[in-house]
Amino acid sequence: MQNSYDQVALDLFRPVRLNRSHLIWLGILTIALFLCLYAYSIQLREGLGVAGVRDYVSWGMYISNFVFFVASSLIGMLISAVLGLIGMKWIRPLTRIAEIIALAFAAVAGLVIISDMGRPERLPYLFLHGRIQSPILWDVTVVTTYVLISALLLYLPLIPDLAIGKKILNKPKFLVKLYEILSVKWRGTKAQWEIIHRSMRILLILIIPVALAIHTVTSWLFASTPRVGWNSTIFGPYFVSGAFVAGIACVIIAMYFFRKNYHLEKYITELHFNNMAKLLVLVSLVYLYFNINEFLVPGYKLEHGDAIHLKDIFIGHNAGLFWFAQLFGIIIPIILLLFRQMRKPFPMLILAILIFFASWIKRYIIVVPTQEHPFLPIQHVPANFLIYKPTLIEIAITLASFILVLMIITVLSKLFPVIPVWEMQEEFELKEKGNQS
Amino acid sequence: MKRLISLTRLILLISLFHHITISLFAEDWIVPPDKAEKTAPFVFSKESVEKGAELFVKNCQSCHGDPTRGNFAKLDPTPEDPASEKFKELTDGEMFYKITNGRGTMPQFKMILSEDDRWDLISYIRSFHSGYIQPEPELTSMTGAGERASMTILFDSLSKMVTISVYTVKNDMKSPVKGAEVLFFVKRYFGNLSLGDAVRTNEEGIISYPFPDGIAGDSTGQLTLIAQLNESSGYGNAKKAILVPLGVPTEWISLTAPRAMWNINFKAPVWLILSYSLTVLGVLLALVYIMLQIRKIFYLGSAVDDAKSDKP
Repeated sequence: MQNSYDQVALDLFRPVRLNRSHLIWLGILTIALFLCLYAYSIQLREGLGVAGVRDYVSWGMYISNFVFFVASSLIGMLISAVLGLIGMKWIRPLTRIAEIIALAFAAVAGLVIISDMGRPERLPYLFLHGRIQSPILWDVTVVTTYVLISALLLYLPLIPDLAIGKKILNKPKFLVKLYEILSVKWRGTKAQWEIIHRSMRILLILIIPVALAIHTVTSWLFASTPRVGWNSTIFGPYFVSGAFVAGIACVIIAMYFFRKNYHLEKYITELHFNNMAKLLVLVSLVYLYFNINEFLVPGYKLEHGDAIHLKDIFIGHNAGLFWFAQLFGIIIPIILLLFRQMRKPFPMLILAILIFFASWIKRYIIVVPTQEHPFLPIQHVPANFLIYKPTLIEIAITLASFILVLMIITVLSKLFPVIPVWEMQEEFELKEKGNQS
Repeated sequence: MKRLISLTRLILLISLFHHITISLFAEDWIVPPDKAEKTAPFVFSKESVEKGAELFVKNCQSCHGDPTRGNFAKLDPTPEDPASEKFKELTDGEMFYKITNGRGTMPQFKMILSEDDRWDLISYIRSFHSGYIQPEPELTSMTGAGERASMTILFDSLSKMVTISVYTVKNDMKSPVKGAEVLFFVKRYFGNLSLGDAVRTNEEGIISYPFPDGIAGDSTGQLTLIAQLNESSGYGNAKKAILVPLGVPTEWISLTAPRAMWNINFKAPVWLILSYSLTVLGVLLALVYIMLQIRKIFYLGSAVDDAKSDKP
């Protein structure tokens, strides 16, 4: 009995070390990041003109990417809070992965916004001169809060693990020291456990409205304007349901890689993939429902502006992207995941990668095409102002944000066990007790 | 039969399309003959050229450039230099028609410039055309029409009546204008409020204007009444304004005075300030509480350690 209990800790702490392949991977990411930061230095020097955004399409790739990042970060709330609070036991090994993804995307989302500023040094003006009536101020507030809560939600259940890890790990030295400090003298007393449980419950309840707010307010950045394609009363739930689809895709990709590279097959089983697939179908169906509402209702009435916008994305020059997003982001996964064979790890990895891309493109479709049809007639501007084309510099800066997310996930998943150790130990204990009786 | 009909339709459609393209995009901008014959209602003078020059800078220069210098904007079709031969060949009426109606990138000035303004502009453009001789100014059939009439506006505070008198001056002799149309407006923040159809002058060239009831004035009921000759009746566009106490006294509340969603930060709605601040405060307090709990874990752990070290 003692043996398997310790074995759990040994298994889960095995990947926590610095090895060469890991350092090479981080090195590659760092070099790529610096190349992309060079692109940003050009933008900083020359101004936003080096990006494809112009007078008419002023929200381009950066803002689409921001929406995608906020969306992906919502998964932390769904996995840890919603499923955790309703007592889904199978989800426990996935909670930390979801939290790491949530924290990484939410933290970088703020930077993505700054990349869309021509004069980033004026960021403090947002707080000095911001209007409390502006959804942009609400968004900044709520994203910051979400990053804080996500960090705490990652940290709190980590405290007992840190105390366990301190005993198991003997190198590297700095890591042992880090564990010592971060474990805040965890001795596993009853009083300490009570604090952890109570604080976790508070945070898990708190994160639900905050996470809903973060993406609803992000949707209001669009929906509070009268622009065709944004002027929608269901934008909040439309964004939130879409966020869960994107977030689950992220978690599935991460699950696959951690399972494979960290040899966690015993802890992240095919059952987990199977359950995540069902969860994915559920949220995709909800998202599909909102999509039908979002497009069918204006499509039925075809008011002047809607007619132009819908024609553009249904059969116009944005149709390819739109149908790719809708088919690979929602419809095909729903159909394929009905089959048991598709709910196996590898097919799900492929589907998740497709959904991930499709979700990104969906955000682009939401943000960009409507701006190509301004309310005022276009006069005295070059024709290329009308159609948005992202530049290489813009793409590089956007890639930088993804590299940053990967770096954060890599570092966190190397410094700490990606599966909550004490929760797994608890599960094993219960299982063995069950076997004995 | 059906096929024949659809074929005829197709041919019709093609010819119609052809016609449209020809008339829209043809190089020549054809002005209807009756419009092309139109002439100015006054003789071009040094004053009209000066006035036209001023209007040209405001309305035309951005595309047509400085006359004689050929620095017009690179648009398609080219706006051309007004001093050029192409402009010289136009009749005054053609030029007037083109300025009035516009086409393609050339804007319509019907609503932007008065007829006199447009003629002043033409007189300015003509000043660059050597050898130009102005045709006889156009005179309408009405007596005295074509002359620019003057106007006086008076308010009698006893009878509360507004009196307009329209007259022309020739050789220091005032002669009243009968049947001149006068339009009335009240000055407002954004543009003027029209008070309805034009009123005609009587035999003596006079209008006793019954100011309508219920028009809002300032806090003392003062408002600015504007009377303007209707240009199309042919006596120019003289305009006079007068401050009259005929309005309903009204307290104007500034649009930016009350708290509103679209107002400045300090005038945000109270409910919004409260819900934002309280929500942020509530979440922050919760987070501070969690931080304190983490500190408590630390103290509890220290206590355990101390207890252990006390025991030998």
